[in-house]
Amino acid sequence: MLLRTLAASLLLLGSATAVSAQTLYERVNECKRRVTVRLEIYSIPLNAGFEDANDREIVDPAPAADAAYAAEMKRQMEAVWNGITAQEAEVFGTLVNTSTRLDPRDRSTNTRRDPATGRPVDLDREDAQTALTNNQGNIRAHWARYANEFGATCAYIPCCEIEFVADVRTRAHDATPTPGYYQIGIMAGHYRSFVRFRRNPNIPDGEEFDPDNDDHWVAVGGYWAHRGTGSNSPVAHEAGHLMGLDDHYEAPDRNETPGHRHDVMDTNSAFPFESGLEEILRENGMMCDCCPEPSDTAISLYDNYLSDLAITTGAAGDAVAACNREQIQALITRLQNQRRDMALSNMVPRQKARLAAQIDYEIRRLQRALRECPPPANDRVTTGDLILRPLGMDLSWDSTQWCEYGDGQETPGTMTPIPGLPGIIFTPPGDGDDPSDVPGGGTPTGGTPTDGDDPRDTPTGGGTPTGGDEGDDPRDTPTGGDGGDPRDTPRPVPVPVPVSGGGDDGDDPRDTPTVTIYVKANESVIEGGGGQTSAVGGQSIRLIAPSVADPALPRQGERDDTDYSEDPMLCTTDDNGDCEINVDPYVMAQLTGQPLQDAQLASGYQMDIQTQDRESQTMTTREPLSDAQIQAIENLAVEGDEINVTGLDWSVDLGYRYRMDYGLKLGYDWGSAVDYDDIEDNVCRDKQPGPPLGWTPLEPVPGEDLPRQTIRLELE
Amino acid sequence: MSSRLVSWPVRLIRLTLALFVACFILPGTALAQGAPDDFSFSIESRPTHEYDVDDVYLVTMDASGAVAIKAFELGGQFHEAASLTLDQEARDAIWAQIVESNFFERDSVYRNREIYGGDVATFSVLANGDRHTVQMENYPITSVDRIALILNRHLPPGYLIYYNALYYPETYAPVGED
Repeated sequence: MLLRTLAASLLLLGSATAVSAQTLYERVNECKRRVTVRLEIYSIPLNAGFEDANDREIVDPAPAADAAYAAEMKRQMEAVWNGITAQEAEVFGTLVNTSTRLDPRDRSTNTRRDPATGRPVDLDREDAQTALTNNQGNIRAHWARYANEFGATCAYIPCCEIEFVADVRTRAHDATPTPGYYQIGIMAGHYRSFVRFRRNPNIPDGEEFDPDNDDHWVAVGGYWAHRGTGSNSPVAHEAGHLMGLDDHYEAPDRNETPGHRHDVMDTNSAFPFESGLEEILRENGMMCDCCPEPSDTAISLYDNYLSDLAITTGAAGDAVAACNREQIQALITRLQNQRRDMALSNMVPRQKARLAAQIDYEIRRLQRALRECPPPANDRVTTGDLILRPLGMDLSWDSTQWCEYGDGQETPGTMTPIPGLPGIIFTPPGDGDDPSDVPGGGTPTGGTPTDGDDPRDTPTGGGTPTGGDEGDDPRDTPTGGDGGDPRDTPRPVPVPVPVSGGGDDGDDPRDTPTVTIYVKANESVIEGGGGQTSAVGGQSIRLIAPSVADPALPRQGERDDTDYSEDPMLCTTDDNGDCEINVDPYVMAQLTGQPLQDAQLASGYQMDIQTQDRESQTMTTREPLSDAQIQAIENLAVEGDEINVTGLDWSVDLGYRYRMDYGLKLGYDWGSAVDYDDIEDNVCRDKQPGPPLGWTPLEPVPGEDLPRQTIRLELE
Repeated sequence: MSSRLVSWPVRLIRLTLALFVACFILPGTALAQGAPDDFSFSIESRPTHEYDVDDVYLVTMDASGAVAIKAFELGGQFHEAASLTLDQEARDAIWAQIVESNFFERDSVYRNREIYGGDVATFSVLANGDRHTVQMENYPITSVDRIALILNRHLPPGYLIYYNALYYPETYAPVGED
C-alpha cells in the first residue's frame, strides 16, 4: 500500500529531482542520491473528554515536541538510515567481536549451557532481546568508528550512495501545519506509532474513490510514540514508511517476511535492508546506474581489493595453521599496507569502511595467532621438526651442499635453533669452526662449542658487536671490514662464483664477488594455494637482516647481532615479476645458513621460505607407527586432505598437503628418502652439484608435481 | 372469572405492559441489580502489526471478579503479570457501561483504513450466556472505550490498559464514531 500510495503523490520534476509533498528525492550526481524527509512535529494533548479527573491523572502525557526533541528525531532517523545495513551488520558483527554477533541466539555466541547435558540452550526471549539490543548497540558503535574514519556518512548499495536527511521542525499543537511537511503528533511511550493516510486529492477525473486502491491514498503524517533515545524508538521505522516501505515482519508466530528479522521495517531496533534502500530509489525513479555491466571485463577497485584480501586471508589461514611466525608477521604487514593503500584509493567511503573492517579483522586474527605462537626458543623449532619429533626420527641428510644430491648415505644431524631466528639451522659435523656458534653464555646450539677459533666468535659476555673492540684481539668482532684497518678481522674468503654485476670491476682485490639471487615475485607467494599465480611487477623486494627487523634489546647482550648495521638489499621486479639482487657471498652464507665451501656460516639474515603445496609427501618408516604417531600425522591434515596408512612395509603415504617452514633452509635434502626413517622434501628445482648458490627460486607451476617453493622476501 | 372472560382490549394492555417491562424496566432492573452472575470479559490491546510482540496486553475477569493481567511471551504464550479481584461495585460499573455502549448489538470489527500501523483493541464479553466480541483497529468508539477507562480505575499503576484510541481519540478524527 505504501509504495503505490507515496508514488502516487509524487510530482516528477524533470529527471534530477522528484518531490512528494513531504519527501524530496535528489540526484546529487551519477552515483549518489539524497532523500530528504520533512517532518513537522507537535505534542498532542490528552483526550480532553475525561469524565473522571482520575482518568487523566493516571495517564502519562506526551513529551514536549521542542527543538531538542526535533534534533533527536533527526539524529535517530539519519543514524539508522545512513548507518550500517542489516547485511553489513551480519558480517560486521562477526568481524568486530565474537560477542557482537547480530543474532544473539546464534549458538556460536550463546554461552548458556544445559547443566545436565552441557549443550547450548536457546536464550529465552528476554535474554535474547537484551542480547540483541546490546549486540546491535555494540555493532553500531564499532561501525561508527569506521564510518568516522572514512567519512562513510551515507548509506550505500551497489553502486550508489544514498544520503538520508531528516528535516524536522516543530509547531504547537494548535498551530497551523506547515505545507510540505509530514505532520507528526508525538504520543506518550505507551502507544503504538502509525502513519496516517488521506484520500489522494489527485485521483484522476472519472475515477471513484476506492479504498482498496493504494493509489487513492496519500500519507500525510502520523502519530509516533515517544520511546526516548533507545533502540526501541519508532522514528526510523516510521520514517521508512514515509519513504514508501511496507512492514516486513518476521514475528515468531507469523512469518510474514522470512529473513527480515533484523530489518528496521520489522522492528524498531534493527537495521535497514539493502533491498529496502533499493526499493526507495526504484519506486521513486532514482536508481543509480554506476555498476559495470555484468559483461564488462573491468573489475571494480573494490572487487580487486576484496580479491586481494581473499588471497591474503587464505594465506593467513595457512600461516596460522602452521604457526609460521615470519609469514604471519609478513601478512600483517601486507594487510596493513593494503589498508593504507585502500584508504588512499578513490573508492566510496562506505566501501573503504567495509574493507577496513575486514582487513582489521584479519590483522587481529593474525596478531592473536602471533601471540599464541610462541617465539622460537631452544626447545622449539619449525613445523618440519614438529612432524619429525612425534615420529621419533632424527634429521639426516646426504649432502651438505646447496641443492646437491648426496650419495644417499644419511648422516645424522641435529636441528639447532639460532637465537633471533625463527627457523632452525642445519648443523653439519664440523671441526668447531662453525659460524653458528653462539657466543659464550648464549643459547645452546647443540653444535660445536665456542672454541674461540672462529674469528667471528663474539667475545664471551660481549655486548653489541662493536663493543669492546679494543683492537688487541684478532677474534674481536669486525668493525666494518673495510679492509683499511689491519686490526679488522678479515672476512672469510668466499667461494669464487661468477660475478653477476655490481661494482666488482676486478681491479680491486678487496672487491667481493657477488651472488645473484633471482627473485620471482608473484601472487602465489602470498596466496599459498599454488596454481593461480600472476607476476607482480614493480614490487620492491628487500632482504632484511634479522637483527634489523628484530633488534636485540639492551638486556639481550648475548645476542650476536653482527648484521645489525647491514643495509637492506633491494631490487624491484619488472613486468614479469623478476628481479635480481646481488649479494655478497658472505652475506649470502648468512642468509642461507649454508656453508659456502670455504666460507663459514654466521647467524644471519632473516629470510623465509614458503613451501607451496605439493602433490604428496611420502614418509617411510622401518617400524610400525604407533597410534599416537599416526594421530600426529593426521593432526597436520587440513580439510579435504586424505590420510592413507597403507602397506605392509609400514609406509605411510601422506596424501595431503601440509606446510613446512624451513626457516633458513633454502634447500637441501633432508635425507635419502629410501628405506630410512625420514622425510624427503626437496625444495630445489634442480638438485645438481654445482655452484652452491647457483639456484633460482621456482615459479610455481600449476599442476606441477615437483615440490614448489618460492622465496618470500620482505615486501614493501 | 376465567381467562376466557378477559376481553381482547385487556389482553392488549397486558401485552403492551409486558413489552414495556421487558424493554425498559428489566434492563434498568438489571443495572440496578448489577452484573449477571456469569458476567466475564477480556480486553486485549496489541499492535496492528506484530513487529513489537512484547507490546501485547490482556486483561481478563472471570465471573468471580478475579482479574488477571497477562503479557505476551515468546511463542505466543501468555504469562500472568498481575492479578486482583474486582468488587461487586466495580463489576457493576463495568457492566453498566457495557450495557450503555450497546455492546452486544455492535459490529464485530471496526477498522480505520486511514491508518497504517497503530493498534487493535479487542473486547470480548460473556453475559447471560451470550458472548460477543468487538475488535476496533485504530477506531475510537467512545462508549466502548469507556469500559476500559472504568476498568483502569481499578488496575494497579503500571498495568493500565493502553491503546491509542483510549486516550488519544483525536488522532483518529474524524473517523471515530459512536
